[in-house]
Amino acid sequence: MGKLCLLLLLAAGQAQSATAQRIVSFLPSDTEILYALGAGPLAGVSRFCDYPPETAAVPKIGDLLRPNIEKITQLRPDLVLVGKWNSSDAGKRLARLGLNVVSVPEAAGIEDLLGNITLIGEAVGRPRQAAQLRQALKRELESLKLASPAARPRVYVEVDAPHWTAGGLSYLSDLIEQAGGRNIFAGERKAYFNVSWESVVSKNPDAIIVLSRSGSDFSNRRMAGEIKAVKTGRIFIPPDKDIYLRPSPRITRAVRELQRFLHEK
Amino acid sequence: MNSSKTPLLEAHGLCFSYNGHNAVDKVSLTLTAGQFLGIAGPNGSGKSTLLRLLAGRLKPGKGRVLLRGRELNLVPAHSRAAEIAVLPPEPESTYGFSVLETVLMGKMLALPWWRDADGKALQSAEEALELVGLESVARRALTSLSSGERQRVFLAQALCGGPKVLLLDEPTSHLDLRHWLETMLLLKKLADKGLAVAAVLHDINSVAEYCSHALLLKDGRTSASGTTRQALTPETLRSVYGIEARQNGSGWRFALSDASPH
Amino acid sequence: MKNSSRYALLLLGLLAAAIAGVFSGAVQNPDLEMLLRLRLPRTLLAALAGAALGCCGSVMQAVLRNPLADPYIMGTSAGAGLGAVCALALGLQTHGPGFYALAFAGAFCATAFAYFMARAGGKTSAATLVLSGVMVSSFCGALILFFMIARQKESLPALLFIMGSVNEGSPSQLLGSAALFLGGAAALLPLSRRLDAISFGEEKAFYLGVNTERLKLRAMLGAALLACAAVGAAGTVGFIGLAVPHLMRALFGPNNRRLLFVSALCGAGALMAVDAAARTLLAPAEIPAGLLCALCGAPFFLYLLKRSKNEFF
Repeated sequence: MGKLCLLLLLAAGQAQSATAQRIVSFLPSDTEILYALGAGPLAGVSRFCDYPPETAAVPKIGDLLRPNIEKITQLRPDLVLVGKWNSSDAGKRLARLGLNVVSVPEAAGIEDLLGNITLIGEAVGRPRQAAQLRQALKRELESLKLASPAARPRVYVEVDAPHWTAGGLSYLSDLIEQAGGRNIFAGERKAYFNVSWESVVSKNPDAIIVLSRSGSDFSNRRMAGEIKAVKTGRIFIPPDKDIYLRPSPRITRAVRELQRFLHEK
Repeated sequence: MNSSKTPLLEAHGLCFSYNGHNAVDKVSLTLTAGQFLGIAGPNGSGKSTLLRLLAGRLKPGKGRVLLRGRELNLVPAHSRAAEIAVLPPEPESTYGFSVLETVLMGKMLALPWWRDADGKALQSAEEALELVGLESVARRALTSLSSGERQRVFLAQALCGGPKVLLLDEPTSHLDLRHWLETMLLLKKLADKGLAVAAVLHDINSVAEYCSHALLLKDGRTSASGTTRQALTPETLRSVYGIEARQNGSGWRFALSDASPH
Repeated sequence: MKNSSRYALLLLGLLAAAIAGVFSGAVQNPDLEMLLRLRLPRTLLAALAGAALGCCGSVMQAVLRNPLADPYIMGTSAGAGLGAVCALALGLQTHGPGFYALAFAGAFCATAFAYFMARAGGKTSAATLVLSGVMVSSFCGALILFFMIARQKESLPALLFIMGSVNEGSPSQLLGSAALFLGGAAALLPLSRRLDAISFGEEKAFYLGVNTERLKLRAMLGAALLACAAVGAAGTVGFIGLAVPHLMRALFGPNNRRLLFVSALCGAGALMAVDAAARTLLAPAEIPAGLLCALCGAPFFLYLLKRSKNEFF
């Protein structure tokens, strides 16, 4: 009888911290968080997931627009993490097939990122690691904030095609603020949008971050020479663009890199 | 009517076939100034094809067409258009050009594109419209006219350029009795004034009454040709149409024969 | 309404559009330098693109005898879009010289391909030209969509190009578009009377002395130049090339020499006005001009159609 009770307790204990073993992740940001929580190796990732390097060996299951449903079901995952992207119904389709699907909301800022870490931690049964990761990130971000000088340079960030920038509701804008800069379009109640070039010129930013492909031709644009950032040559083309656009634990790297650029003399 | 005049348009042994079918087979004719030639025959006898060959729209498989002694396909387009005016059976009218603009086109294509219609051109256009009796609708859009009126506008367009040869394909198909009469009289008058006129007509009595010469086609071949009196006889009509024909004054009366047509 | 007062109205509209173009935008009180160096070139570029579209549309409608023809009916815009996505796939810079070279090449190749596909025995008919163009457009369009799905990261620049938005008007863009526009116009104006003649059908045009095959080829060439002038300036903006000729034909008649001229004026005014609105309505954000064109233009055109009781041409 005692042995039976012990067995039952053990089983219950297992169920409590049911660490999901076979996880499929659709979003590169979620993938990074999962590995940071130690939930790797994953069973399947999307074709856009490229960090950490271990993901290279993981089977690719398509993406949210065209998920490879067959392959996913073949992998028999305990958990599938999807995000809201282009109103894709991949999550619904997988849930209908009986899979355990958790939808991770879009992170519009750093607070959301931390919230997602907690959410994902709970979904994979690693709440302790999630809390630890949160603490670590928060501490590092705080210290970076203290290290940044009082003067906040005004920043224009170009995300994609010419004049595609980040508004106040975007993750990128929050990141810029965190690094001690001020996004000139932070006042816009939009995430990412197509901005008028003359607005950029008239706002005369002190620094420019270029994440789009028009890096080298930036100074050739009309009246670009009038912009303070161009005149003083403060144009930053990050080597790794993903860490700026992906809400992931690598945020501290992005903030540090950005801070260095914004406040160098 | 004087056959010793130099021919304006000649056809020698024209042959044309498509899809293995001989539409026109060894047809020859001569058209001189002052002649009004009526081309007639059953459906599918090659009348329209022959007209197109004479107009230069189709290239004959064998034989040739001569315009005033020159090979027609060697004559440049603008010269050809200046000398030969053609009225096809159903010209399109997609856009609402005015009647006057349409008629003027008969003359304007010869002018450079920046030049506007001068007094002479306008005069020719107005005269042409008067000939067909449509001077009152000069400002109206072509698309607002009836099909008969449109047909007469295109006739005016053909005349506006002052051609020497006039080729018409079924010019009276949409016309009411009055305008049919007027048109036939007009064509005869034009021939008398010195034009060479050839028209595909489906009505034998028209041919008999107004044409000076006639050409009867059957299965693409010349069945009868010459002056109207020579070409239109009960025998030729029977062989071409398979009907009994009897001359009644200046017109013809027809009846189905007992022997069924081919 | 007399013709002279219609001309006056048109010129007034053009002037108003130009003023709107230069004096409206995201920035509330621009200084003179911004007006001259940003607003003016862009407005000029919009005028060039709009004029090219208006002309090109009227030529296509004339030569194909089809009131539904537009500058892109022979596959020109789909070809340009395909060229653009190829450039993006190759990693070329958006709106750089290589990008435009490929877009123009795509436009020309698609048009030429559609033309030669429709040719049989040295002849083309208006109906087969249209069919051929529609097929080429569909095919190119499918390829573009395929690219967008396969390379989702680069799809945004492609999408903006295809929707059509006026560029900033760098000197090279202005010169290039102006040269293409003037080249196209120079090629097409001498054909204007023959284009009138071809409206009566190929056969009647032939009898009037027009070499219809040569006319079609030259008209397509001129139209392709104009289309490239527009695409180089503003991407593939739709609707203007279709609607402006109709409107102008209703006001000024179908005479092609006059129509080419007024379509250019009206197209220029239309795109300048739309671009001004595109820059101002959601400032500082900018709506792609092509999108706004279709959104506003289509209902307006339908309204006109209803009012005229279908007696539009």
